[in-house]
Amino acid sequence: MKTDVTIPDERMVLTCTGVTKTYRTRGKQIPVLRGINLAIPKGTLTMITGKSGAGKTTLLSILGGLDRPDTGRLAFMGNPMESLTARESALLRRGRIGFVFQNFNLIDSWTAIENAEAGLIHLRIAADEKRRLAADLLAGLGLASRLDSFPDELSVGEEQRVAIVRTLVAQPSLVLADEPTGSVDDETGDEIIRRLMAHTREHGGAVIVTTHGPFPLGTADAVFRLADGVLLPL
Amino acid sequence: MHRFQYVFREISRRKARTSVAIAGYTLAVAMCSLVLAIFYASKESGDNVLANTGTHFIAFVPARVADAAISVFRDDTISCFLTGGIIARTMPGDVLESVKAIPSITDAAPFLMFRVKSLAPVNAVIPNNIDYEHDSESLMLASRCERCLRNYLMMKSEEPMMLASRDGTSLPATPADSLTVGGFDPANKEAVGTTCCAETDVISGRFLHPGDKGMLLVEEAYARAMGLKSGDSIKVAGRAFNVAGIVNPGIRPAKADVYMTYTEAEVMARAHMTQGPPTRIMTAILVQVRHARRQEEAIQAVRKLIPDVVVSSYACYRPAAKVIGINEKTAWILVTVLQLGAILFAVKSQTASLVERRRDIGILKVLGWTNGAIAGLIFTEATFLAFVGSLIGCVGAIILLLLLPKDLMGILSLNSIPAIAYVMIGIVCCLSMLGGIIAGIFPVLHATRMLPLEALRRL
Repeated sequence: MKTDVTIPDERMVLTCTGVTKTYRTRGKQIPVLRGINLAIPKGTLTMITGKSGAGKTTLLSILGGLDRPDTGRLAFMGNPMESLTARESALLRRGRIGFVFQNFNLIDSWTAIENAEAGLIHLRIAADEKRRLAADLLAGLGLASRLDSFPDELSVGEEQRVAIVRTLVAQPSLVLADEPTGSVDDETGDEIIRRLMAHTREHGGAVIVTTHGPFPLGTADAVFRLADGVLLPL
Repeated sequence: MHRFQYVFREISRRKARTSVAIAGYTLAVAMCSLVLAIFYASKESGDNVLANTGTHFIAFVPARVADAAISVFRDDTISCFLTGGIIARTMPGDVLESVKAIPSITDAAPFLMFRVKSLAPVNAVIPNNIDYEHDSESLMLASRCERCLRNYLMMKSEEPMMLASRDGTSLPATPADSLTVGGFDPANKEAVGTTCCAETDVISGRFLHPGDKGMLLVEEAYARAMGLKSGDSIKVAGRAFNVAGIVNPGIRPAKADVYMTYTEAEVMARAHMTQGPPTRIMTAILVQVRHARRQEEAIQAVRKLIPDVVVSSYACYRPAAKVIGINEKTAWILVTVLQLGAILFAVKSQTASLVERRRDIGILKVLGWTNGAIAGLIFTEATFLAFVGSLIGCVGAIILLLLLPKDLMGILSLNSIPAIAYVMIGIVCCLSMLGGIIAGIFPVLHATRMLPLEALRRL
């Protein structure tokens, strides 16, 4: 008789159970995550706080399929992730898991529209159609005249909007935001939060935000603190 | 954005890095092609000489004791057939055509050699009081052969002589009783020139012409021993000949005291034989081989064709063939070293490029680009840079070769101008492109191991 059958919970975008991760450097073992348990429901914003070096980025990497846990189980939309190959993880991320970064991480050699449509890599549609989808969304954020501008020609706020469009244009089921407001002014930070919340409300997507600094905690549906490799609810 | 668009955008955006990378390939291909062209021209010049080094031999059949007992001559004017000092049997004339038909053989010619008695009616004897050990000229001759020494001393002496041997015993005085006659075809420059006698061996007078009658060449040492010079008349087997020239053929397998045309030698031999064979008479076949490397093959083929044959050859074709092999290996080592240099340069360039784009690669991975797609990106760029660089390098090499100063030939002792070997340049170009792909492997491995978020956050 099977005893390890897991019944997928359709309400959960992501679940992780007993995830551990230890880095080995110069013969030393540095445990970063020690048995992380987390369940992210659809349409929610989850916040994870912690000091710099607490392992927030490592946790996001594992949750987004960019890195593998040493032990533990992960499931995205009910499908196990821990056994996926690097290629399968990459294919899973396309369009379904989006990332937002502290410094936006636009590709410098690409124009605003090219950066934005990069989020549609998973769609097998004509290039013109991809461009139209990205351009409509950029125009909706007031960047209609900046489509062909390169990142170094954009203001910080404009860069942020392009980065948000790149992430949200594909309407991903899960958005992982790593210190998204860490390097922007308050006004821009508020704009980022508004956009992320709108994504959860309008499209039912889940958002996980990590931060080590001030963040409007009241906007989150759940808040955790990562310390000493352990995730504690606040 | 399509992969190619991304590559071209990157290439055009980072002009300095792109230029350096392309310049690396250009230099590598141009230098490779140029050095190889000069090297091959030099190698070809050397190989042409080496290919003809020692590529000849003579084939003859030594007489057995039983043969020696049966005289084929009706008088004692001709004592025996011989080749290179060995009493030899005549070979069937038709075997010559079979030898010529051997693929590894360029040409073959008949050679007839025999010993003739009674060159000069000398009644002198060698005095026993001559101390030839202290006579430098005698000593020189003594080192060559006793017979020449005897002849020399007899020519000089007016007194009855006895020859004192080195061990103190006295040798009976004998007249200059014989000389060796070699008959060859002067029209055959290839097989004869290398094994017997060539026009370049003439010291004085002239070489034999194919239609010459009553003319002969005298070997230098023999001429000196006998006091002969060009224009002199001598009798051989009772027939008068004029000395057309004095020759020094050096150490050749088919060396004789005097040389005449093959036709005249054959007529002379037949005149003294009891019954001549219906086909041509020859005691040896002079053979010229196509290439030093095929000498062994040719010798084996002749051995298979003629039973009991003995082949006399210089062994210098062996080192020659070895040197040719060394030259070829050197060429390939040179190509490998130059290409490795180009690859190392490209690896450095590609790795530097990757470090510059670490952040971009992290972003692409986060967006869902697979490692394969990123590897394709790096390989596309590496190959494109290698292609453009190699193409410019090819054009550069051709221009350099066209502009190459002609006096370089003299400096490098080349027989020919380094040729524009399009095939070779093409191969170098392909190798460079392959090098570009190889150069992309390390950066690709580096990129695939990169953790995207870590890469992004460190910048």
